[in-house]
Amino acid sequence: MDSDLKTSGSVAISYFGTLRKVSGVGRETVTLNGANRISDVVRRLAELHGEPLKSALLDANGLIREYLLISVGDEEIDKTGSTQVAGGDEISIFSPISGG
Amino acid sequence: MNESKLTDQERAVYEWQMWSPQFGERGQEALKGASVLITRCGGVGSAVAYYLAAAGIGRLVLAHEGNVKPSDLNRQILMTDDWVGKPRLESAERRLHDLNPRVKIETVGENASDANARDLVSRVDLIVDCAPMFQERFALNGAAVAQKKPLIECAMFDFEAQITTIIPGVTPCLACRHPSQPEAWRRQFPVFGAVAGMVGAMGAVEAIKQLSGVGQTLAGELLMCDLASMSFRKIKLRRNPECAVCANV
Repeated sequence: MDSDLKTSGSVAISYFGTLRKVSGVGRETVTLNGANRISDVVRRLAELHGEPLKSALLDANGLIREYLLISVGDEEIDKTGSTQVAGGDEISIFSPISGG
Repeated sequence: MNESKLTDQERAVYEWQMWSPQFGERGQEALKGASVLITRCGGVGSAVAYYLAAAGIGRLVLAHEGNVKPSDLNRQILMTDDWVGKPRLESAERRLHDLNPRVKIETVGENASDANARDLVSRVDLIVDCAPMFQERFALNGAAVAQKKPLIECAMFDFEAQITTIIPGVTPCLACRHPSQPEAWRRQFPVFGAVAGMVGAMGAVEAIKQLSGVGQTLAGELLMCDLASMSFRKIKLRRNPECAVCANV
């Protein structure tokens, strides 16, 4: 956990796979501003970036796309959205890759 | 899987890896008695096949349709320039036999699908999935889970690579992680041969460990490699209790 991020109430987001190009950034920090669930954080990312990242992260119902892999620290989390996050967390979002 | 006694010639060929104290002659015999399916033999699968052949696996089943194209040659190390326009698997079989004529090789000129996955998986002890399309991966995952056979998942994109080992009933399966496929994935994607080869070599190492019982595999963990920054990390994967493929296994 990054102590500077924790102090500022922010989380670090890293993008992998095709999301890296879609987001235009490999990594960024986002202030939680009261958000405490992973679904809140992902929705905030969608709002901040708009399209095309919004559609890459969320389905038509505004839910996290089920094929994304999301980890907090070094553990995959339940992407249905109820996982709690806190300042200082390192969140990674992986789009599936299948290259052979 | 059948353990097979080694010949003197085999002892001479595999001597240096049998010096690995945990592996030894017993590990080599386990490899000789084992069979592995590799789908497809592209950038990743070529490297898996080459290193498993070098290591003395008993039998390889290779599944890949189509002919060699010029655009294959930056990464598919079992394909050669003189074989452009001819079947990939002929080139692959020739190259592998040149390296190690002791390995039995079966070729299937098809990519994995719902129609053939069950049969392909039934022929072997272990599967290494190197397919570029999610439909193929899901078909292999379903068949491997149903037949309770270990499946090593190797994938790459640009400078990134991922690998995990799926043990049905024990670890998460592919469908736990990705219940559906991304609409935007296309067969053509950026590939450096060295990135594909690295994860292919890792896939071969995972297969050797799983078959010989040596070391610790990536069961339940995803190794994520970002070769653009040379960063490596392991992520602990979670089983989906409602997984449509493995929840009841």
